[in-house]
Amino acid sequence: MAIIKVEDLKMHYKTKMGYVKAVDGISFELESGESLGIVGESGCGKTSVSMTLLRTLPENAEFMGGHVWFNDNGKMVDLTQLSEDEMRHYRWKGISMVFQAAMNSLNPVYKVGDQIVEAILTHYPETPIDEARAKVARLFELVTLDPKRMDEYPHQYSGGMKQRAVIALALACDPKIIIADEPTTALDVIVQDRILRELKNVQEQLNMAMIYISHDIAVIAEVSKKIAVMYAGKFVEQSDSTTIFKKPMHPYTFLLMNAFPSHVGEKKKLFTIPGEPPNLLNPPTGCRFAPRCPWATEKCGVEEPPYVEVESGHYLACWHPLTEEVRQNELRK
Amino acid sequence: MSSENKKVLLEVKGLKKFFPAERALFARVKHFVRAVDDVSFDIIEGESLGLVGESGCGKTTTGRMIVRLEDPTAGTIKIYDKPVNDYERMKYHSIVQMIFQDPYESLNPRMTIFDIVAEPLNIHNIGTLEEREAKVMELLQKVGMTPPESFLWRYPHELSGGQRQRIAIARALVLNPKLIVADEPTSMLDVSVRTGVMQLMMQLQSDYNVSYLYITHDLAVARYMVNRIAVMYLGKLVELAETEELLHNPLHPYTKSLMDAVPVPDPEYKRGEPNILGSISAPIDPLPICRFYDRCPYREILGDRCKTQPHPELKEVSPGHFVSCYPVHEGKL
Repeated sequence: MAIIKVEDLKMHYKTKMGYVKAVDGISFELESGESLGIVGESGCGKTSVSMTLLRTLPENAEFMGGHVWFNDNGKMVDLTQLSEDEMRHYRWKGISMVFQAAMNSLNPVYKVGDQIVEAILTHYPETPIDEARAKVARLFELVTLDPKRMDEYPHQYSGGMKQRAVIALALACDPKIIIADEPTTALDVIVQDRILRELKNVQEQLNMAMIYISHDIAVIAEVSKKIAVMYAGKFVEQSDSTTIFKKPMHPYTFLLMNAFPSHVGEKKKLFTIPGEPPNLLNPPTGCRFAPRCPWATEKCGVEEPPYVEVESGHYLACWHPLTEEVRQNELRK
Repeated sequence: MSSENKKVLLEVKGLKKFFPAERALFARVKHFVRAVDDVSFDIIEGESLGLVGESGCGKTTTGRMIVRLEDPTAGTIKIYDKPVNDYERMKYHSIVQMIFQDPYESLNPRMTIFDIVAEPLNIHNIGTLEEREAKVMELLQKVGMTPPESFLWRYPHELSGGQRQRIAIARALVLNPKLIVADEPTSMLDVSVRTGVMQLMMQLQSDYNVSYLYITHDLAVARYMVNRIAVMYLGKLVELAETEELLHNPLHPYTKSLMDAVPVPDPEYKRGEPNILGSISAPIDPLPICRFYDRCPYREILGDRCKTQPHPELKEVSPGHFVSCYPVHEGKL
């Protein structure tokens, strides 16, 4: 059974100029031990999805509908309907998060170990402190930090170590789902490589579900078995990673995958996507990608394509899915 | 690339830049960060060189010295065989220009697009107002800001990141320079927009016969932009070769691990684990041995010379392929 099931999730930001439709009808589900990568460009709403799931929204955000079903030992609970106090019970114990800027998510005036102990004691107040510290030491080992450095302050850590500590913090209460929002974006490649390996190991060892959010297709390709491509507040395509890379049916997915340079293999021609991502205050009518889509027809600008399952496990929102022939033609050009 | 009839545009020899590591009032500075430490390379007219390395390796400092934003501690920089200090500053900047990383900070928010792009012409007192306007229009057209007249009187805040970077490129080109130092010009841009800017820069290179010193952390991007790549580690060049040669036949252990650490946008590709020890540190008063010694995976087996002798020279091991590593020089690696 799914550990989380999201249905038609909507969250908009209220601004002076109107509503910014950052999350506009997102649906997906995830089993234990599965990892879903959400890939999209800046401003497409991918971080807003994670904030909506955890209900850590800024003041001007408005929840506009949808359901987040969380599997609490067999019982499906709708997180969107809970009170703030009830929600707090699921946050960190049910779903936890690794934030993008590790340097900012640790408190500079507390020792790193103590911050993780605090998280454990907040959710399990009856835990003896020695036990909590022992757990932190185990978590440190899991993310390959030296447990001796528990009693140091964040400024004594390097960027990669801080990011590891933040991962340990996210694991402190044995969550069922971990959301990683661009956890390696600020890091150099060699450090990024280690963090990615650890995150993947931990996820597999603990059989957690993971939602990995990034703009970097190459990173997503490595950590996620399933990939959802997000564009302008909506998922446009979702499938297993091989299908997304080798047989994408949505024009945006296809162009995005082929716009990404690689340093190995044959030097391929890079694709460009004309235009710029839309402003979510006034998203285009019909398909939101239509104004930039080389294959768009009149219908695309008028009617919005539904997000439907076209093959088993392959979801798509497009009136004119690309065929193998079209893809091959494009790649040969 | 080094055909006889082509002139050497830029020649850098023994370039050094040390920053004081601590600064106390009246105290003499005792410790130095060796940001750039004895770097030499050249660029032939029309050729482009990529300077690749992790943050803190000194690649940006090298670029800043070449555009004279920073004075070298030691070493010489020559343009067309003439030391840069022998050029009048005005004259120099009509030959060497720069594109910065962040297009949100590099354009003056109070100036219109016309004023920004025409400013170098004003300073150099080139042309009448009409001629300047025609030149700016021509360049805007060239960088894909069409129709140009609709952008002339706009301000940077009205433009997206990709458009701003195009304006920065137009500004850099307006004096018909020979060399453009481009410091991560695409790293702030989204994938779909980035390829467009990369292709634009490649197109302009052949149209205007300009050379780039392309500074980046991203090997995959460098692959598409430059003829040769120089890999930098803690203030030293460790390897220099033609782009495809370097990517297919990396010799220095640092280059190898860097290659292995970069994720590949292909879910079926299994890359190796980077073979490197420890983590990067700042080059404050480094020992007079190989700069990579601390992190070299081969130091126990091959390191007899590495820990006793000064940092190895950048030596040509095969035509056009330079490496600074004793074991590679001796054919042991």
